[in-house]
Amino acid sequence: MLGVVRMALTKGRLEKESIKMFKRIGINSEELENKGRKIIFKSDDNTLEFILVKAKDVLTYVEHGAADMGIVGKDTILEETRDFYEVLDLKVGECRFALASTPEFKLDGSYKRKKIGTKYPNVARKYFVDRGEDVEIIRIEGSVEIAPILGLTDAIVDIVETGRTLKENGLIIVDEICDVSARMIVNKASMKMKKDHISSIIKRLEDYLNNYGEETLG
Amino acid sequence: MMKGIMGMRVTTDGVRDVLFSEAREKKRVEFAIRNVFKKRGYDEIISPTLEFYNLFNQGAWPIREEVMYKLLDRKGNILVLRPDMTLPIARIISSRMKSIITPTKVFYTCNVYRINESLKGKLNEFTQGGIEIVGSSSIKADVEVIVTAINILKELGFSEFKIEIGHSGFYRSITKKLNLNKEQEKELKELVENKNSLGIRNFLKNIPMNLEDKQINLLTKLPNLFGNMDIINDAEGLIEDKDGLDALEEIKNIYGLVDSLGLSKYLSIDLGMIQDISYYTGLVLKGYVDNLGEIVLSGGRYDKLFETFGEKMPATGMAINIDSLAQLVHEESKNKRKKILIWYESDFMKEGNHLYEELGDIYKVELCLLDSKEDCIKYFNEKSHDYLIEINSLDKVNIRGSEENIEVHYDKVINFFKGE
Repeated sequence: MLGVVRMALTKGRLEKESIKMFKRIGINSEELENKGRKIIFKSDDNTLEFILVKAKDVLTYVEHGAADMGIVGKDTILEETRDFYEVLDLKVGECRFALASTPEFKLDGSYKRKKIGTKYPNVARKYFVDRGEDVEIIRIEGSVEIAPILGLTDAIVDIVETGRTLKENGLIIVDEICDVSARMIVNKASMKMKKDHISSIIKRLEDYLNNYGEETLG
Repeated sequence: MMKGIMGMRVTTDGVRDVLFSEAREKKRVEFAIRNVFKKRGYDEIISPTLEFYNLFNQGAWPIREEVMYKLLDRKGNILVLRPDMTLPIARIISSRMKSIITPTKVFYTCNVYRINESLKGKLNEFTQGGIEIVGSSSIKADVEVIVTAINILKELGFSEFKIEIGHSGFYRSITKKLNLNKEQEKELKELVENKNSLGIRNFLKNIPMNLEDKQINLLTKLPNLFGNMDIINDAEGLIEDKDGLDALEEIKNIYGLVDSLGLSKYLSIDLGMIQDISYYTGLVLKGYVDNLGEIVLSGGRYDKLFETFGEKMPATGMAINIDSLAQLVHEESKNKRKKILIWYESDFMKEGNHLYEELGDIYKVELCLLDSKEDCIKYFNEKSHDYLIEINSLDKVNIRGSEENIEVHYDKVINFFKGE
């Protein structure tokens, strides 16, 4: 018999995409689709348990084994240094990290120490370290686009999906840093102690993504 | 910075007080582990908590400086709270080489210190138990390490656990032909350790070189090469390199020896397990226990470490995380220990107390402080004890369980519970 596997999902848009994907591979959860006051949701066949938490918390729950697996954006994984297996690219929630600023901004050609506003200080720091450039990183929690407009920072490092928000605020993409999308992660001990169950879930998702992923989810 | 009287009541990041039953359990686990070490003929080493910073910062495998607690001595030397026990043991053995006859088997249980990131739920001071076998390059020594690990987990009462083995030579044989620079090496290692097949595929795509399909195939399959002995057969079909095949052969032989002891059911294999690739030179191992999301023990063969001290000396060993195991054992024993409530008529205070003391080592016993039996039964039902012992005569002591009542003579009560 396979033991119960607990899965941490990122609340919000990714949660909906995850549920859709699980349905396609035959994992249904009435409880998860019609949430009451519950905090742990069972799959209809009782082999899986779901919890809904914030992106960073998915990493925490999975790293400590409070959840065996999780679905979370690569942007969050890049920002935090944690220990777990990253086994699948689910090809949903696709977007990219970019350096953006007002059109006057020049990446090269100034000895002035730049100020960079971001919600992702580690990603931003790594980008500039790789360029060999010393910058000042300023942490901003939301609506990062305002920072260069008001002159708080010279540029921003942020997640860009369509680029519309940037455009509407008169900002342009200066450089693309990397692509991100939703990933499936697994606790290192669970992978070994619950191998059969977890491998079967990964295998089914993998087959699904290889065969149908691109046409149905796009 | 915490200031004032309220600040005096808290501890710093990553350390904790261990109290009462948890402390008892931790010491019990530690002693059980020590006994296994001693029974298998390991000799104890106690070394100073303070060591020179240089010990850990030199050589080919420096421990990252930001994880070490550093302080200065009077002469201005930088000292650290030991972040690891293997290096101090290597220091001790190589400085006393002439007087130590090898192979030598040593053990330790002590606290080690590492600065983890704050607020991530990790301990910065933790208790480790470990062994090192120095001076034997035989797989007999590697098997000895594995068997000791299995014995410890069995001794602690675990039945669901896995000791996972791999071989650093296998990964090295795959990557040696890739001619990667340091950064690429690190990146690929991380991808393999995180079983990120997609990442590996992308990585190989971005590296300008002509790889044979076979090599690409093997690298992208590596994350899935874990499980039982079948994995070795799968891997043999994927690799041609002699060093790689030798590594597989060694795992087979080690597995075979452990199997001959009837212990192979606790073994599994992960060829994608790398650990520190430059440090380990042969067998690598990790241990997992059911219901615990962390690695409880890890180790392997490190034949090159002693070169740092100018000696040529093969060595193998492992270390166990005593804190995690103790916490798990404590949780489980807390759930397992049944609870007894004792109610007595005031005339039988002596008898009540006698039972309380006699049963306390096995059960969690509480003396009911209520006068009326009815109130006590109500309390018993609310607090969900497993048994209620009612003493209002010596002939007929009523033992109330969750399902049935039994009446026995007072003298038989202890028999009833201890014989159970």
